[in-house]
Amino acid sequence: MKETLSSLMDGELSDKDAAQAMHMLGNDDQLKAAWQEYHLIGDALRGNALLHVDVREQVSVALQAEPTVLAPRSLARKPARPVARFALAASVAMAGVVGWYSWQGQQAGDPALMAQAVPTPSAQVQVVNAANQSYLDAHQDISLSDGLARASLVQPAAKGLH
Amino acid sequence: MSDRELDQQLVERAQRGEKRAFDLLVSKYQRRLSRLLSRFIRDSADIEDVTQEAFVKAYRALPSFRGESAFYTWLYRIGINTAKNFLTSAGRRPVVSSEFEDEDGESLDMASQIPDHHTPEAEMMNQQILSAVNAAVERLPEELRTAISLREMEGLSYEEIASAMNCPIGTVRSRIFRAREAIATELRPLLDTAKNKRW
Repeated sequence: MKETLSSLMDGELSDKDAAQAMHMLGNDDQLKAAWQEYHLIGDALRGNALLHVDVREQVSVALQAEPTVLAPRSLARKPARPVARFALAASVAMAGVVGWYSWQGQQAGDPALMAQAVPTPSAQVQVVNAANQSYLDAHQDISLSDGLARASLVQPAAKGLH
Repeated sequence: MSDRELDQQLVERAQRGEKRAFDLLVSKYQRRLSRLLSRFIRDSADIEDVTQEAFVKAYRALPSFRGESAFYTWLYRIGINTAKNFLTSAGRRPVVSSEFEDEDGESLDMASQIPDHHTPEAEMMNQQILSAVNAAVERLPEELRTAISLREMEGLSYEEIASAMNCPIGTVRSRIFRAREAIATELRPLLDTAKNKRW
């Protein structure tokens, strides 16, 4: 198996064999040790690394305190076609116009109802629930414009992961 | 599967909640990243702290990584920003006379520190590992030494090495593995001694 690991490191396995090897690597401490040693040897031979540095344990401990971040599976999303985008925008605009005229017709001449229709800030917010607020606070130094919004959050204990 | 594809696979596994996959990326890149950070930060303990922090930040930012650049290039930028924040919080002044460029050629005017001022212990450990690896390579049979050198130092593929050494690819695969195992066997006692030490 270590020979397979050696080939995996060198990018010399097929996708199928590589997936299998990675699965085994994640569940075998001896293989993980070999992974570390082989990479250390490569770094030493190339002379582009600080060989004494080993922060695996510290990082692992730090990550235990982190929520498991689950990202969407499809990473490379195809951009929407311009025609599709235009069609969507036109549909939304049309629905807005129709809705507006319809609403105007029903509410005309009733100032009390019109006053109620003004949206208040409190009705617009509350996108983030309290349970996720601490997570967002912890990650606010990282710019995740849409990435964070797309992430699903699962506490490690809840899923039994890690 | 290329090296970049392998990293991408590990990233995707980590993105699906496999923290162990991220551990493998840490194992792979920690020495290279810390070498980069040593261009900005003098103290060995600080380098390790910032390296650790950079990996944690990278983990938190994994949902934003979509594979448009290589993982290490992305990690590199996080490392640079983490070092920059560290230097700012420590009140260090950038040194104007020396500028560094990142992997994309962008000038980093925070640039700063005189490189490679490590503790004697850290420097000694570096030298011991390097000496052990070099000595082990010297003791390898010539065909193993050639195979591992062509792979690790020249970056040749197995097919290219097979062509250069006039042997089947399977033989190259075996030689490289045997070379790694022989070197690792000589390295293990040293690494066991180094465990739990803080340089």
